[in-house]
Amino acid sequence: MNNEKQPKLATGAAGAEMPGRADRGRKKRKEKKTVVESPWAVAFKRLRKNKLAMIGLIALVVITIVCVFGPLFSPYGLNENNLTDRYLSPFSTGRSGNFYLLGTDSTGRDVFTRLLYGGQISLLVGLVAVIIQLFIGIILGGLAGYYGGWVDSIIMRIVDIFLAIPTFPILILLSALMSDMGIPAEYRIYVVMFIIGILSWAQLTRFIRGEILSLREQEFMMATEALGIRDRSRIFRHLIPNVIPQIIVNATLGIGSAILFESTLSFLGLGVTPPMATWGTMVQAVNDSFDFANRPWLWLPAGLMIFITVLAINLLGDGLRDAFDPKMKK
Amino acid sequence: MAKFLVRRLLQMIPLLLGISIIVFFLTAMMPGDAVDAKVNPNMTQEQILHLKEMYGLTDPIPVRYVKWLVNAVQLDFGDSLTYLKPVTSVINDYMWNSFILSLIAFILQLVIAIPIGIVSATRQYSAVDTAGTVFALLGISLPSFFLGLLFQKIFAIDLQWLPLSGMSTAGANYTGFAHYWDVFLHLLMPILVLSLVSAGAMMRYVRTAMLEVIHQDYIRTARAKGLSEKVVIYKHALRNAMIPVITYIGFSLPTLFSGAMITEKVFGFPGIGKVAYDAIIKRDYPLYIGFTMFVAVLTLLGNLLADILYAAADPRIKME
Repeated sequence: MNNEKQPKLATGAAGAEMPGRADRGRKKRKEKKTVVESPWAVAFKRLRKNKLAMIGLIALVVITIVCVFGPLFSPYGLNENNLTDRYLSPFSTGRSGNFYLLGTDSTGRDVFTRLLYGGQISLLVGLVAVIIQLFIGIILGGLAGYYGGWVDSIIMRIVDIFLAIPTFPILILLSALMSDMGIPAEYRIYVVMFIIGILSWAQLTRFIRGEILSLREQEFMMATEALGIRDRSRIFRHLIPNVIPQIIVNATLGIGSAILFESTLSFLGLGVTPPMATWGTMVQAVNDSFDFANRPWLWLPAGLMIFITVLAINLLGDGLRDAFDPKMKK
Repeated sequence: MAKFLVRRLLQMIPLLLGISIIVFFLTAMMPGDAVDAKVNPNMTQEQILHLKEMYGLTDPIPVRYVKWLVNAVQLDFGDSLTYLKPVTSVINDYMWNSFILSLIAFILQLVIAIPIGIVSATRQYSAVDTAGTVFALLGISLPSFFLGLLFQKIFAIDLQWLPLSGMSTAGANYTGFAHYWDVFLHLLMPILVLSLVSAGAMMRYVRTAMLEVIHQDYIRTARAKGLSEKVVIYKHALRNAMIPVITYIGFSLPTLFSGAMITEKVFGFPGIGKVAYDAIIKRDYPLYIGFTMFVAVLTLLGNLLADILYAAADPRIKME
């Protein structure tokens, strides 16, 4: 290992020096150009070079577009049953002459169409849950970090409680509460979004508060004070924008985990319930042991979609983290 | 040290109070209660009311909370409505199954994650690192219920190599080695699911820790004085990189008792997680509140243990 590395290092150093001297002029011009590049452009450039992150981004865009616009082109509706075409396997044509890409379920509904509608809801739940989380996290984190003192103490004690709360048991408890209160199926998704958002803001709040705490001691904040800028815009227009890269990373990864939470809850029958389709509720088909063993097209595609979507989000989030990290400069 | 411990344990009290208030009031908001759940159709309205009074269910919620709290402080969480015995003894009965399952999975997780994490960091941006990253993100992105179902479909239904669910073959009454083998076969899939799903995050953690250490000056010094790469990495770097890993292990140890609800449910494994899931489905609130508080205590103990181990492993940190 050692022997292998030694010559490599030597050639590397020499290689770096030689062209540097040869075209110094060109390099200088290039350097001048890069000076005016904003940190955002630098980060974006770095992100574009990261193959895994780009795969994630493209996959995510494709999934979103197909799920949002796909149903418009589908000949079937979300709950349109075709009782003559029950339990058809993928790529088959039913007695009614209809073609089903991913087969049909117990009431002759097209699995592929349901998969697209399910995707809409799963993505929406992830997105809204994260927006709620961001809303609470940015406001409370900003206030706690900026004002310090008793404001900070109170907010951080609440954060401590929410961090120590066993998330999943409480999530299940809230969902069961939702069932007992008889909330109709079409409203349950909103409640689920809200619950997931409410339970996951604490981490972000603590992070933002920590960053603000150190940022507010910097000179540009002294300048805002000298200019007599109001507290509110000092927090949200001067402090928070400095944390936005990390917030973006957190939000991206947060969408992934919100989708996982939602699908797990729905799989357990505690989240979104039929006749609404989400990927989690579609996997519930396994509760029928015959369907589980013999009709994999009922549950496998939905499970795979959860997996692929969350994977794409995580790849992108991971790439964003690397792209924004100033320490990652090579 | 003693002072530190006492202070930390005292700090846990307001947190546990806060959590218990949230959990208790949430369960109290549920329509229907223990008595409604098992009402006999022959009972008159007065009998039902009498029963509710007997259980203290007609009191206002804050009163019920204080009563519950007074008992809970003495480790009495009431009786489970489905098991008809004290909540603490139900938890004690099932947590050991969960512990065995989670402990083996945790060890396997470490065995997978630590070496790959180290190699990933020492060869940053190499093909090995990319493969490690992809593997880690696969693990993080896989919903445990889906991986469990896939395993069941492949290994239990299609190939028929492993039993589908449970902890032992019903009615087989194996003894001795045959019994242990039977349990082992039942544990295999849940263990694999648990460790694969969590190895990814752990791997990233090890990689980050290792990368941070490798970029420090003393490692450059070690290389500069001509130490072999092996010695630099495995003697000088690894020791410091393992500090956050040890902290993580400390944090995880207590939570091994809290069960893995989803995996246990999918595999019908008789652990505390599945018991808790059944408790919420059957609206067995005393048991569920007891379980949630149990998990909360374990989490807080995990944090404490992590801090203690951190100080023990790193002489630069003093327990204050």
